[in-house]
Amino acid sequence: MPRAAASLVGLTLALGSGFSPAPQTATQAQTSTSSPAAAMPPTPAQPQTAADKSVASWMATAAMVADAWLDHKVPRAYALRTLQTAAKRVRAQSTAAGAERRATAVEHLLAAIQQDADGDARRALEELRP
Amino acid sequence: MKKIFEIALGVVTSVGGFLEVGSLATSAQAGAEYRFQLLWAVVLGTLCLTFLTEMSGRLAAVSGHTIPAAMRERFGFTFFLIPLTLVGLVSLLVLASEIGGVCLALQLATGIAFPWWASVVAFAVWLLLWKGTFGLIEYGVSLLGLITVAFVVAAVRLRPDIAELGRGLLPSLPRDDPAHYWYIAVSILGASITPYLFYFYSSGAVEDGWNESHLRLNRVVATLGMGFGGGLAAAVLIVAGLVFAPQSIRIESYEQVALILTPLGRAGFWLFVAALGIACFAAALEVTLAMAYMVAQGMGWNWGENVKPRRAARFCATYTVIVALAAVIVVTGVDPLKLTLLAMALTAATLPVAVVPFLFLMNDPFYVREHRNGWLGNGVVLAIILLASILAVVSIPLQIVGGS
Repeated sequence: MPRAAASLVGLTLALGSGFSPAPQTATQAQTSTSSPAAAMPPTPAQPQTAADKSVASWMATAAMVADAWLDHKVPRAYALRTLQTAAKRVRAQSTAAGAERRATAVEHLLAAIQQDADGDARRALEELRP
Repeated sequence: MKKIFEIALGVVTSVGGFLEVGSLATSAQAGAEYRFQLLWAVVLGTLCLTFLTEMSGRLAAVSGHTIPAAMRERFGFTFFLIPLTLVGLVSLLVLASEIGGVCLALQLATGIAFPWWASVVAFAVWLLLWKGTFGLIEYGVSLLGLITVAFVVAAVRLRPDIAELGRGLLPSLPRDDPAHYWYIAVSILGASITPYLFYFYSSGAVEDGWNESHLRLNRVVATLGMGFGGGLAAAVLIVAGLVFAPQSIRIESYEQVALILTPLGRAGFWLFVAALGIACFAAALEVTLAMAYMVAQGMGWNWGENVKPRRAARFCATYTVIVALAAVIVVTGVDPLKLTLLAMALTAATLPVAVVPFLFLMNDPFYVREHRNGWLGNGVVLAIILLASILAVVSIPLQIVGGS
């Protein structure tokens, strides 16, 4: 508990910068796992912006939703609403690389699920994963 | 045998009532972005809440006073207006978040947008308060809340790395975006140490007619109940760390959180919907009652969930207005996740006002006689006050800098 309190006291410093690196963060863990390539983070030379992270997150969400829908793990209404949100959020990140193209890929997936077309949905899902 | 039954019931109530929209959202966000690195915040929050809950129950059992009633009597009405206003306003946002959580569960189940459900859910909350008894609310809804144990099942089945879990129990600093990391840490603490919980607990003890013979029961219920409840929040964090973090998913919407139990198979989505809906509904009942208790006890009105509405008219009118106001917030269509995180950060900001009175009340022989706090109890309250003061100072700047 004292360590926690001490860490919180140092919080004001955190608002600027000057932190020593953590032993492990989610960002580190992410790079070592397989994720939809459309949502892959840039190389270390290109630090991710907040917009890049948001796009990557929503692309991965779209892929996860599609997978779950194809496995009959989530209802159609939920899949449609979430994919609509994903397309909207990706398109809104206009400063992120390829946001428009990725939003279109999500919309293809959305259209396939709207038509209950499993085959088209699988192809659209592949489109999300280069 | 009766005592064991009471303990089991008390623990079940605490477990069922612990996990709500705030702890669910903050734990899911923490796990998705930092895997197990923020586990310490859940543990710290649970420890603080356990101590404060035990003290609330002890005060009620020994003195027959609830925390708000004792605050008003001990410090006067002028002082009481400060926590009443601050905690009241923040609790209103928390209530709106809880009602929003139930509405979201209904949106996930039906596809109908959540604002359409606000008035239906608010009416259901009000109706249960109007017609129901304290026992029905305390045990009935909380028993249903045990469905949240699904998160523990998922955490076990996903086999987290024990060593990494152990490292998460020790605070560590993030590699990047420290403001966001601390924002989530503060939100977790805000979601755990919510004043409404100990106000509700002390009022419940009075409603249940606790006396000094219930002190041991109080200690066991507070420790085991809050401990298991904290375990549920930790389970959400762990599952989010295993399901979302490897896919780079940052939680920006509840729709994303709905995928958290899909590793459990086809039932996973529906388990999440049921857990979200029931946990938030139970919490909405508790927050509404806690706020109405606080106002009525502070004003010296008749109060009690077991009292007929006509005999506690102002108490009932208070919760009616509170539920209606919260529903209006949800109807506006405000983003429920943002509302939840804002409510949790503001809860952290108001903590000192809610916690400082414990130091006086729990050492005043007029209220707790020989059951005053020892050095450990006072040390913990002082530590919580220090922590709460830091949280109060940093929560608003963090909301601005790290809340995006």
